[in-house]
Amino acid sequence: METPGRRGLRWPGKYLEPVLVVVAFLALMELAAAQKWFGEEVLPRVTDVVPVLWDDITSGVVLEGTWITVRSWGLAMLIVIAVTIPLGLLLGSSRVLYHATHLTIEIMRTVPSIAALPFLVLVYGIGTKLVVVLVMLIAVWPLLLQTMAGVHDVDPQAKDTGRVYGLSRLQVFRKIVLPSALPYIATGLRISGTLGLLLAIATSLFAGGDGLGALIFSAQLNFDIPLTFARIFVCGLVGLAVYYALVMIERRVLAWHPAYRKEPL
Amino acid sequence: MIAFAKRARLFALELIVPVALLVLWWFASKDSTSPYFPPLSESWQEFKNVYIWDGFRDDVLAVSLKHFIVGFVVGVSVGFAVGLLIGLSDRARRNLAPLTEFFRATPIVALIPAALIMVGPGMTLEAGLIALGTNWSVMLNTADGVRGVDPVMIDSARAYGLSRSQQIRKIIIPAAMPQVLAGVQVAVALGIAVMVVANMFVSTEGIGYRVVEAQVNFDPKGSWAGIFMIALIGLVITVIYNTIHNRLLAWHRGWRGTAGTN
Repeated sequence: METPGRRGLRWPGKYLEPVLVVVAFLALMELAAAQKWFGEEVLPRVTDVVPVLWDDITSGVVLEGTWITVRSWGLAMLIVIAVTIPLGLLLGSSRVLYHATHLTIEIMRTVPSIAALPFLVLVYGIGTKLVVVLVMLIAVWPLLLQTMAGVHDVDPQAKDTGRVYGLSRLQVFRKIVLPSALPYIATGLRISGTLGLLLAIATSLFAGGDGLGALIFSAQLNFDIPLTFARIFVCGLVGLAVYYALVMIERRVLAWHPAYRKEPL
Repeated sequence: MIAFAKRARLFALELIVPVALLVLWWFASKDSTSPYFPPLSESWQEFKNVYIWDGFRDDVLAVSLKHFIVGFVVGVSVGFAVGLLIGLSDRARRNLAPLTEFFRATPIVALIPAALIMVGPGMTLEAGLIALGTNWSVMLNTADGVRGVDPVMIDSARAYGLSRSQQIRKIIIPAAMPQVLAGVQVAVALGIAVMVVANMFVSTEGIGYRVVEAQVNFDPKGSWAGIFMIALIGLVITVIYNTIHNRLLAWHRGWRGTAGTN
């Protein structure tokens, strides 16, 4: 039943219209390519990209590259999570430690870690290690800051109430501090994760190796424009998958939290 | 006065660690013979030689920062305008979601090779990439912010006889501002990163290119000098942005303060 007052579309419209928009967009791309709006041979036809993409997938090339990129990203994220969350909880729970380290970490966060890429190529060479280090360099700061802020911003009244009710320090931490810091941590993880993926792709684009970025670059070097676009499209899909995976983790972990409760449709 | 003393103490506390780290680095690297980690004093000397002021003028101001400012202003303005329109219409937002979500999720650096083919190197390409990189997060955050405005506020405004454009200017935009600025904040960080990468990849000038050049020439001191410069750019842009951000949201914080919770 429709909610009163909301002139919502019935379900065919709800799904049909977005699909039509996508189809219209693709048709426009096709037209732009066919009419050469951007000049000779720069924008490939959608109808040329699709079979190339299919071949790239069935031959396993792009899947292999995706796997390499996602694996390095995942490894770096696991290390970041394992180090950063405990550290952030520690630094956030003491006022002195929080204020002593906050500015330093803010400064470190503003440094675009991509700047270190050429330098780190010298140090680590090209490969998984380089990607992991760079992803860690960019992903560690948002998560650390968010974790610290989450612990720092816990309502002191809630903590006092817990103490009054006779909870031990550990119980206060588990039952009050951790739950109220979790939304911050989840947001931090989402920011860290998406930035990390950006850097994983940038690294292999720039430095080479076997990742997705390197595949895009090699397609461009061969002036294979449909293949370049096909692989960029795969990058978009990977980005979308990573983003939604992180949002889903956020929703699952925080299902109890008012801001994340399912809104009645 | 007491509040001031307290703030000064807090600030001193915040400064201890960064200063201590720099001092530690300076002395720990003093006799370093590692080719990758030259003494900080030498990297600093190189930084002064290269970037104060000729390199700053020729590579940073004339190329990288110019591209950043043009791209950022275009990206944020377009993102805000389109986000406002999308946010005002539930139907537009839902129908465009597959496209906007896809483009936001596409790591912008992946577009560099294709964009190079389409546009060719130069200002248009780099500023365009920065605009593309900053546009989506501002757009989607603005749309979310506009959609999340309390309907009671809009109804009250209408009851008081505000026209649609007055409602947008006086109610909807201010109420959506915190979320708009959250999007802009992400855009600042993304924009700086894209600026550096675009410079590295498709340019023969600019700060990103200098760092690559140093790598190719196996010149770690030059690399460090470039990294310092980029760090400084990131820091200054962030500080400027935070100042503007706090000023724009000062009324909002005040309101939150009196409203009590949340």
